[in-house]
Amino acid sequence: MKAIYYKFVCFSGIFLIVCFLAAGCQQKTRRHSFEKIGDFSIRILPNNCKELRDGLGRVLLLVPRGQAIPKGYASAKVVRIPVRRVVAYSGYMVSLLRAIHAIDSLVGVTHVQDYWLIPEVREGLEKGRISYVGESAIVDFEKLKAVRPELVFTWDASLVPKLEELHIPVVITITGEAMNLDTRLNFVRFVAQFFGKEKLADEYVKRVRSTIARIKKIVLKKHGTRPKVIWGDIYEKRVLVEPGNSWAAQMVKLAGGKYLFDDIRGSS
Amino acid sequence: MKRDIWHKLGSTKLSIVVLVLLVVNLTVGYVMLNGNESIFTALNNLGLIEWTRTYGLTFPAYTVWLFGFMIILVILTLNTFVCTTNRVVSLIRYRHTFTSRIRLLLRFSVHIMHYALIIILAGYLVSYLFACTCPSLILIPGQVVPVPDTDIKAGLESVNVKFYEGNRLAFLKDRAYDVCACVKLFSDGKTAIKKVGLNTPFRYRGLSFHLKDFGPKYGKGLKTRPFINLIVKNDPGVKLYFAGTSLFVVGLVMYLYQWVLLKIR
Repeated sequence: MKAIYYKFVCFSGIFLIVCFLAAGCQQKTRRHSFEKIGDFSIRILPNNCKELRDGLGRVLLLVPRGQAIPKGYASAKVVRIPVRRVVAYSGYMVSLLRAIHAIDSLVGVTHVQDYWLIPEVREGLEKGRISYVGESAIVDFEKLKAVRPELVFTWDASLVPKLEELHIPVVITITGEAMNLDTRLNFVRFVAQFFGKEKLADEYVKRVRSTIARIKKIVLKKHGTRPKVIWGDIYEKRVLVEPGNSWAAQMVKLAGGKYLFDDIRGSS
Repeated sequence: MKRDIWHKLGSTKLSIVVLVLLVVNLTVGYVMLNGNESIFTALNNLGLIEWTRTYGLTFPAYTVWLFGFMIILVILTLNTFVCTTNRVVSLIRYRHTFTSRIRLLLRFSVHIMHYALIIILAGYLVSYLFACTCPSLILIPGQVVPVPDTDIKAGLESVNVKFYEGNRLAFLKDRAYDVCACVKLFSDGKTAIKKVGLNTPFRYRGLSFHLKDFGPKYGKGLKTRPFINLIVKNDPGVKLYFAGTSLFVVGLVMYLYQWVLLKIR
């Protein structure tokens, strides 16, 4: 029985050592040909091609313009990069395009001019360079087709079949589970793959991270009670709140607040 | 030499060591899984080989326990197979010591359950190695779309979403609590209509269709177009699970018969 005990201890020890070694290896080689950003993923393929998975797990194949489509991707949706004409559904997506200096590629939005505070969008809508294609729930597909987008960023899954029928590639920008802060920050790097702006996205993420760290430091110096906070939206007599695993809840905690729904996991 | 290896593989001591290792491994797994679920949910869509190439090798600190788990399961399976086979062989050898055939037959019940467990585990392995998954097939009314990598086309005939209209649960008011959709399938000039709902998938031409998402989710306000999102799976492991589970039930019934009826007598 003693022999079995020793064997067991040895096995367990070896297993734990392998775990720690693997953890160490991971720290050293952060940049792989594969990267996961929440439920999104990026896989670098030969000849500057990329395989991306969007919020629904759909595969998108990014192929540089003029280059042949790699074998084995017959059923994948192909997007020619860098994308030059894009339609974005949310203000958040448009802000990300601005952050990576890709706002020039924006040709369609689902909000009227008054909604926008971003000067480039307001100006674009005024001059007709950017088109309003209808509210998100009632998009005018003829208008959408007329702006000849090479890509549509949307949270609306029901749009996918219609856009695929029109041969317009579509990226679903939300996931079943709420985005945590790390995913929310790095999502810009996922978006940057479509425009060849990876370096700018990296710099942007660095900048935001350092800003968050700075604010956290300032907040830590302030002593006092932690205010109780909830983060939500009100839709017709209904309040939808962000769960504890969301980036919003994490930001509240970093800012010194106490998030009331910290113990709840779920979608945004 | 061969006999020696066979006996060591079937020993009870090995079973104990493997089971204790399994507990240690799963404890590590529990810690690694916490907060990193998205690494492992991808396994369902990608399959074991592709997942190992991507998530598995990119996040070794979180995934190494799973590879350890698989190795331990292989040893446990071998151990169970050898141990069970040894006992089955000796039962057959000493069959003449049993007073009746039924008593002899019922003695196999435990061994049948062990073999069934091995078949179920093999089913899981086949599933993770060879299943093809389309993680998202979105259907809207009035449009037919091809099911990837097949000659099947699918269209949404109707979606019937039930919204909560009672007063007892105010937070559920006007929210969807059940859905039933009719899907029209076209293949080889033939059409078929199948119903799909929450936890009620359907099978068609070897593929299984599972409801992943649907819309609209609210009866009033926040309205979206009606749609359903399906996961389509071609899983050759399913037949093995069913075979294993059926065999397990047979073994269990035999065991209960032996335990209840024969012991009373």
